[in-house]
Amino acid sequence: MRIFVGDRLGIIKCVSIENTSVSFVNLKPNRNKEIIEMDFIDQNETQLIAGSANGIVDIYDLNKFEITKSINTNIDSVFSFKYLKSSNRVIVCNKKGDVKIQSLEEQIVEEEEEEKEKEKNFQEYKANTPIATFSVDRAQQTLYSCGGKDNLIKVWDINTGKNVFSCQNLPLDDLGLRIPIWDRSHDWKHNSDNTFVVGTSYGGIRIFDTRVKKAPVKSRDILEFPVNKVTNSIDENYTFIGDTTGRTFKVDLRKIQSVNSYRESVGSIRGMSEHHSGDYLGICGLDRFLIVYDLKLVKSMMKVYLKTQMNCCLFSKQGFNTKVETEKKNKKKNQVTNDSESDDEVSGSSSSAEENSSSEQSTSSSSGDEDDSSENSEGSSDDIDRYWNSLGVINDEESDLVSDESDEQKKGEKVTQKKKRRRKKK
Amino acid sequence: MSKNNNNTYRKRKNWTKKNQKKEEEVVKEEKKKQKILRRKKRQKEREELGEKAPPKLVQITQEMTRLPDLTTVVPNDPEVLFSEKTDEMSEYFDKKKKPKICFTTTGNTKVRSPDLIKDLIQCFGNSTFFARRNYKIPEIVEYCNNRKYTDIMIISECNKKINGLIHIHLPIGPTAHYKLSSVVTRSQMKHVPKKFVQYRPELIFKNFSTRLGHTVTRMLNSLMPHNPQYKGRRLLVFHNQRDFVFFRHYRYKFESKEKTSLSEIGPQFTLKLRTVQLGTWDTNHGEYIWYYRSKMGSSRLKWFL
Repeated sequence: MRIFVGDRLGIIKCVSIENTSVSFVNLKPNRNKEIIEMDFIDQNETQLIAGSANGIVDIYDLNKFEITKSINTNIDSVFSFKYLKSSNRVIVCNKKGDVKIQSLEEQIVEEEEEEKEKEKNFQEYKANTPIATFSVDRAQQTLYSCGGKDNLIKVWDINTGKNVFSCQNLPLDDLGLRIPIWDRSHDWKHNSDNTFVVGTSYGGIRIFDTRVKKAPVKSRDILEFPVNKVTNSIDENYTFIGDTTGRTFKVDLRKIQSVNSYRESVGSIRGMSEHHSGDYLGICGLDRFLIVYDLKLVKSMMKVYLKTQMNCCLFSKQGFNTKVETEKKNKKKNQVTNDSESDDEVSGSSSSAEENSSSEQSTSSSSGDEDDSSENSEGSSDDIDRYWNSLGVINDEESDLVSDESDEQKKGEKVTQKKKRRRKKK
Repeated sequence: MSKNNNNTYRKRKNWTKKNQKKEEEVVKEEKKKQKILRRKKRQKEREELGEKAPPKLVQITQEMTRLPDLTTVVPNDPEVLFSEKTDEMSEYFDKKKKPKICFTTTGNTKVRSPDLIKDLIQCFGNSTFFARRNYKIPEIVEYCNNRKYTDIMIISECNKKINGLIHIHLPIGPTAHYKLSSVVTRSQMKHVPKKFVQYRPELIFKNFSTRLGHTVTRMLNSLMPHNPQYKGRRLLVFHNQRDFVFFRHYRYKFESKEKTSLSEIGPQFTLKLRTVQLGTWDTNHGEYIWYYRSKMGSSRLKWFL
């Protein structure tokens, strides 16, 4: 598995989770060229597109780590950036309210036909008040929505430029006062044209539906600090929320209550992304750390120190999860085999499997940042040899990557050999 | 009968307390004697062996067993060097700007804070004091930007004790929020000269090893002018130990080629970091770079500066 991370200095880095190794995609830092968002072009993930604060859009080739194309959209101080897959176009937005749509294809321009082609390529719209959020529809990518301080969210059409939907505020308070407005982040749901979730900077969450009514369907104030980032998960009923002091929560949308909390980061959160299987979450922010969480165990898998402040992150879909699945299967075998070996250990636990598993989890929780696999995989040696040899047949058939997985299998065998030596010395 | 029993009970209590103290003192004296005997043995062995003697024993302190930190700065790191060249404080280090400081207080307090502010104005140069008359902090930032100030220091007070310090770096720069304690002003010290010539002093920072520590030292560096005058023999020291920062103000003197002596001028106080913010001071809608929570990695050997 791989994650791509974009910096505030203009550098893109690629982190692999199994090795915890860092490699650079871009090598020339530039303070004016903050990276705002990234996205893949193909399904095979050979090209990466990145938008920066200058107004320049770059396309990278991931096999060679080079720039193949760079396009200049003439807008200063870009605030947000999105890539439209169906029509191969790019939307760029400013804080004042200028929106511009531009196509990525090259065209030969003649002197007589310049005006006609300008109408095809460029489209400009203007919003009236300053913008704090901006996002694009997820299902068919024909709508865009924006909002800010004292400015409710409005939904526009891309091709025609007309207003489709505008929100309405909640009714008056118990004292008869108006409720203040500051929409700070919002996100559309997967495969839907209708609903989106909004986070305000007073700590509240609202859900809107375009088919039902203009006022919010549900709303509630949860947090003390403002909500900086909202991402919807693949499940329809859950979202992830990021704070400005470093806390993240998993929220149930039917009642608007927090179910889990992740509390290891220290600075404000600016980027979140979820794996396509729904098992892992990656978080990056202003405190220069990248943390990956395991969602079923609610624990941190990996914590890497990257030396600059980060803006956005992306999970890649490629990569067969060899190490993680084999460790889960090893746990089940170890719970059965540990009954015979419990008397030999110094800790002297009883023979039931539940207490062994609980003691292993307690030791793993005390040691914080290390992987769970290294402590739990202490089964008998003969069973592990049979299991690794049986796995070698399965993995060669199903994998598509060339060299990464063969190296991982060799590392797995080396780990077992070391532990054989340890047990003999005892 | 009951009265006699009470008297004997009291006598036995006092008798046991006194004897307990005597026994404890006897045990302490024995331990001291044995410690002295062990030290004399080691000295004898070292004199006999001469050069082949084993090295001296070292006392194990908490600083030696500190948990290793991931964010310690390795010298000559290209990413760290580039990010510090294009920082918010880089204009001061390129010798393009001179510092100009503005002092205020929170509320209209008059009990203890004017004494500290007089000493600080004499310590740092080129600064003025303004009274706080129900202005809000974002308004103060606007007015100071119009008159080309570079720093704002706000001192807070509660219950006749000085509490905290807010340091805002202008025009966009980061803000730091400290907790002040154990403040001693010049009027409370003895043998302190009334006036001294304000040559530009020298700055010393000790024991800041992590990335957070580097940003804090850069912010504190921008308070004083860049090129010191060694003729004045003045020193400002910021010493960090276990996340507490100690501030002292000395003047040194060379008595001979081998000996120097320090004499203390100026106030002394201790600081502890609470928060570091990205923009100017905004508690409701601002973004934090570092936020301190008391249950954050609860172990005695984990420090952040």
